Amino acid sequence: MSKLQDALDQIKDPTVADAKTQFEQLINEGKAASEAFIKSSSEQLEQWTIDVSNGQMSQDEFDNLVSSQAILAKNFVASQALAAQERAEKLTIKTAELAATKIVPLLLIAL
Amino acid sequence: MHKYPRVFLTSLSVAICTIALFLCSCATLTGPSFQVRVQQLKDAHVAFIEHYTCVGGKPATWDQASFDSEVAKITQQFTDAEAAESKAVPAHKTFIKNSADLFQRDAALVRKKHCLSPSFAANKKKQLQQNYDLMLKQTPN
Repeated sequence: MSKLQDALDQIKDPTVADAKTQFEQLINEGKAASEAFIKSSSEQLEQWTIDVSNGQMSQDEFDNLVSSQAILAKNFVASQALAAQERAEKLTIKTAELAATKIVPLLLIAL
Repeated sequence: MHKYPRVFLTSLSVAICTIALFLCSCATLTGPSFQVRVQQLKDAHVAFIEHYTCVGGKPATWDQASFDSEVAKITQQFTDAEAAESKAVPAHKTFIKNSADLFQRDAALVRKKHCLSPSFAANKKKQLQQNYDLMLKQTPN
């Protein structure tokens, strides 16, 4: 079992089961991407989530990283061809938002 | 036919060389200086994160005046770097503006918490590397 799965397993709330699955799928899709920026962003987001689950980072710190990454990602998305922009946005900005709004708050409660 | 072909060709060659030298000097003056500025901003930003990382899980003694002075100094570096960029390359200005925004977010977090967890500091340094290196790699020498 991956460290990310271990972290997500700490969330027992059944109402976010779909969000957990979706988050894990998005992270795995991002890590397999050929674009270095998307790959790196997914790896970093995975690490931040694991660090929060281990109590090594606070919500404030996680939120700072996510909001900063959104600024970087907006530049990256804008640099992509129009057809690739939706996918790039989904794998960077939307995945980070999903983590910040549905995953990490419940992860902190579960600690 | 031109009456004095050699003179004409020599003048043309001199003109071409002058333009080529001018373009080379422009590239030398703008390219590296932007790179140097970005590298300086990166170094200052990373040093700021390292300075405010908790040592042994505890914050170092908090000195508000020293913190304000350091933030003001780095903020000025970003302002100067943005002002130094010509309007001809809007992407450079936007990049510096966004990086200044990142720094202000980090400064606000330090102001609130007084020190950053080692995990956050390590993750933040990776993020800053991703940000600044992306621009440094895109800009030719």
